[in-house]
Amino acid sequence: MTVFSLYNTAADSAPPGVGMIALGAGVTVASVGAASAVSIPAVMTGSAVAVHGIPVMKNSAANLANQTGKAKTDPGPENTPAPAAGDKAPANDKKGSEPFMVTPQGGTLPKGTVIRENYVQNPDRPGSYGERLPNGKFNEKLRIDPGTPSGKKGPNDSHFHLDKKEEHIMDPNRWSWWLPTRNSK
Amino acid sequence: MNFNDFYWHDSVMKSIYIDRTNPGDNDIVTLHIDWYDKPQSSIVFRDVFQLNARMNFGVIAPASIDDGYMEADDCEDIKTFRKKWNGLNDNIILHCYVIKTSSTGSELRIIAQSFEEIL
Repeated sequence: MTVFSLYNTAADSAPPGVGMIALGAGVTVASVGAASAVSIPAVMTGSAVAVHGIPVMKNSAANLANQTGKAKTDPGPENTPAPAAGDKAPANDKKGSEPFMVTPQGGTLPKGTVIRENYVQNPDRPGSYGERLPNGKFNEKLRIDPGTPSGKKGPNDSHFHLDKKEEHIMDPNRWSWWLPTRNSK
Repeated sequence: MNFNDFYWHDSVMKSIYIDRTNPGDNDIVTLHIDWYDKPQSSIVFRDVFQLNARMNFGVIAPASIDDGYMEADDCEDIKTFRKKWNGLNDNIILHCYVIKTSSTGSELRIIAQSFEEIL
């Protein structure tokens, strides 16, 4: 299972089975298993933060209402594989009040999110995940984007894309993969 | 329309066309864009002096654009270019246009005198 990590991850040093989102420079955390084992020292709490020059960090609840521009389609992740065994979506809807994780490029997700175990990171773009194909190509399944800078047209809040679709998804409830112990009492 | 005012993010670059039918006199680079907020059109760069394209392939995903913008006129690209030409074109206006893609992490940097959107 991949635990969302911050700024920089030494992916090479991760234990087997542990993937990491971030590659860059800075703090990283990855862990597997119980939530109590997860240590995330650089959790963002909603105030504005510039990562790689891009201002990000909005409260995710606010994200739901702040999308600009139009989404041509809203097909949902019908082609996205179901969460892997052990990954679990939370039953409640407290995510909007929780801190975020941040990719090197400034994409944000709620705390506790993970990347599907069999996804690998796009070698050309941190924050993009998918499957490595036998022919050596990379099939993108998920991409986490930072919000567009203020004053630029686009979604000014962090969002993610599923299955190459153009929809800017800002609703954390549409994220499929979470730490397994989350809300699993 | 100002180059920076287009809805670049998640618009898709469908093709790049480099016109070499009349080189020197008419150096044109055309990007065909499927816009996120409107129908497709072409962005035509005229009087191009330099095209730097670092493009990654092998990623199965649309060539979604992360950002497009025009650099300041005194940016390093233009400074370097003018230095290379040793004053020959110091009196002409040049702009540096940048397109970056999301899934492939590609980057185009175009030094041209102007651009135009062709519907």
